[in-house]
Amino acid sequence: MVITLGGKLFFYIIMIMLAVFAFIPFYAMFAMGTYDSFKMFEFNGLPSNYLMENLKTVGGSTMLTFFKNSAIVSFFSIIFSLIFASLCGYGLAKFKFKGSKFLYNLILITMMVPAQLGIVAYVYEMRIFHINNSLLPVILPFTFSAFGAFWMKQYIEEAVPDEIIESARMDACGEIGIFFRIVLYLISPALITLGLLVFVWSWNSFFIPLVSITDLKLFTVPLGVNSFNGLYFTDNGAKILSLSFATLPVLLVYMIFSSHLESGLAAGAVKG
Amino acid sequence: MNSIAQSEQVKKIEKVRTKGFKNKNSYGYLFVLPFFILLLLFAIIPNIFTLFISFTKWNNYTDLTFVGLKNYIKIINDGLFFKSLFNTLRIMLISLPIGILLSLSLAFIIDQKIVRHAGVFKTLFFLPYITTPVAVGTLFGLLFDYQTGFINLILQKLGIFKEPVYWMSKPEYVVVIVSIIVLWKSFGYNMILYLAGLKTIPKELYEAADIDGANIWQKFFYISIPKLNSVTMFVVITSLIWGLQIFDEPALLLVATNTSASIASTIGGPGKSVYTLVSYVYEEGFILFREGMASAVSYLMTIVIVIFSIFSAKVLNKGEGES
Repeated sequence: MVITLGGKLFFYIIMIMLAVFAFIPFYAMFAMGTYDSFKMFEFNGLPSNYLMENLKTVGGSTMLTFFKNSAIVSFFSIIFSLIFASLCGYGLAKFKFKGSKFLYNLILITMMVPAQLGIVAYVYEMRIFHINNSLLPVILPFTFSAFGAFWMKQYIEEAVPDEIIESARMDACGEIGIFFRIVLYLISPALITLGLLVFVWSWNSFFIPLVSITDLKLFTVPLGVNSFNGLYFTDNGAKILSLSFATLPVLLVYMIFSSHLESGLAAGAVKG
Repeated sequence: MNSIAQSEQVKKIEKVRTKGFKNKNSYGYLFVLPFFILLLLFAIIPNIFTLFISFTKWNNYTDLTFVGLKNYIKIINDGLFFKSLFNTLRIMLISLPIGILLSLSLAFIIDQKIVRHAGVFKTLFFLPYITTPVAVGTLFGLLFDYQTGFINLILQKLGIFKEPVYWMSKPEYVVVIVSIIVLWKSFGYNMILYLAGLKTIPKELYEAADIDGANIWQKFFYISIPKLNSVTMFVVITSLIWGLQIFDEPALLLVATNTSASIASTIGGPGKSVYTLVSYVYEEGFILFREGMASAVSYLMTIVIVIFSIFSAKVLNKGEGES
C-alpha cells in the first residue's frame, strides 16, 4: 500500500492531536498540583514551586488512611474474586451436573442486571449483619464477579484440555488437587488479567462506598477525594495534588500491564 | 447387538477409569458452591428484597407500609424519570457521533500500520478510561473552575473571553462539559473495540482492493466501515447503558467548585441537566430516605437496561452470524 508523505503526515497529526487531548488533563493535574491556590492564575504551563506546601496540606495521616483502606479493599477483592470465579468457571466448564445450565444462565442474567439494582436492600442487609462499620460492604460485591466466572468458564474450556485432567485422575490426583496444582497453573494468564481488572474496578469504586460507609476512618481513596471537597474547598492546589495521588496506583498498574488490561476490558465489553 | 456389547464395554472402561471418583461430576457442585452462595446472599436476596420494598413506603427505620404500584405510578407521572433518560440521551447525542468517528478512524490508522509506535498511542488513548472516575470529575471541575481553572485562564489569555465564565451556572455548559468528559473517557476504549472488529476483516479484502487500485479512503469507506456496522451498534448500545448509570463524574464535577461541597446539594446540576437514573436512586434512597421510591426507580432502570442488553446481544449474534 502506498501512502504519500503528505498523507502520512496528516495521519500523524491526527494521532498526536488526540494524544494531546487524552493527556492534557493529566498534565494539568500533575502541573497544577505544584501551584499555590492563590497564584494559580499565573499558571504558564510549567510546574511551580509550591509542591511541598501542598503536600503538607494534603497531609500524611488522612491520605495514608484512605490509601490503606483502598489497598485492603483491592487486595481482598482481587484474592476472593480470583478464587471464587476460577472455581466456579472450572466447575461449569468441566463437570456435567444437574442444574449447571441453569447456574450458567444465572451468571449471564447477573451480568445484564446493573450492580445498583439491589442497593437499597444491600445497605440494609449490611446493617442487620452488623458489618456496616467495616470495609466488608465494599469488598463483598467484588468477591462474586459474574463476569469473572463467565470469562473463566470460557477460558478453561479452551485452555484446559480434558486429557490433562483425565491423566491426572489416572495418577490418583484428587479433584481439588487437580484444580490447585494443574488448572490454576494453566489459566494463570487469565488470572492475571482478571486480577488487574478487579484491581481497577475496586480501586475506582465510588457508589457503593458512598452509600455504605459513613465512618471517616474507613474512607477509601475516592471517598477521601470527595471529602477533600468539603475540607479544603478553597485550596484547589492541594485538592489537585490529592487527585494525582488518588489516580497514581491505577495509572502505574496500567502503564505496566497495558496490553493485559486492554484485552481484558475488550472481553469485558462483550459480556452481554 | 454388537453395538450394545460395545457400549457395555465402554461403560466398563469408564468405570475403571473413574475408579475412586464414583460421583466425579458431583464435584462440580463443590466448585461452584462458594460463588453461588455469595451471589445468593449479596445479590439475589437484596435484589428480591428491593423488589418487595418497591411496593412499600419505607424510610429504613419505621415499619413498611404496603402501597402497591403507587411508587411506580408516581415516578412515571413525575417526569423526572423520563428527564433522566432524556439527559443520558442528550449527553450521548453530543459525544457519541464525534467519539465514534474518532475511535473508528484511530482504529483504522493503527490497524493499517500507517503510523509507527502504535502501542504508545494506544496506551495514551486508553489512559482516561481506567482513571478513577471520582478523580476525573473533580479534575474537570477544577479545570473549569471560575477563578483558578485552566480553561478560563487559557480562554482569557487567548483573548476569546474577556471575563471568566462561570461554567457550572448554566445547564448548557454543564451538559457540554459532561459530554466532553464522556468523549474523553470513552474514545480510547471504543477504539479497542473497533480494533478487535478490524482484526476479523480478512487481509485479502484489502489486498484485492489494492490490486483494483483503491486508495486508503476507499478502503476505509467501502471495506472497513460496512464490516464494522455491528461493532458500531454495540458501541452505541453499551454507551447508552453506561450513560444511564453515569454518576461519579457529574457528581464530582459539580461538587469540586461548589462551596456547599456536598453531592447531595448539587446533584444533577443546574436545572437537573445531568441528572441520571443512578442519581435518582441516590437522591430518593440516600438523601430523602424514601426507600420504596428508590427501589422502584432501581427496578425501572433495570428494565430499561435489560431491554438494551437483550437488544445488544441480538445485534452481536447477528454480527457473528454474518462474518
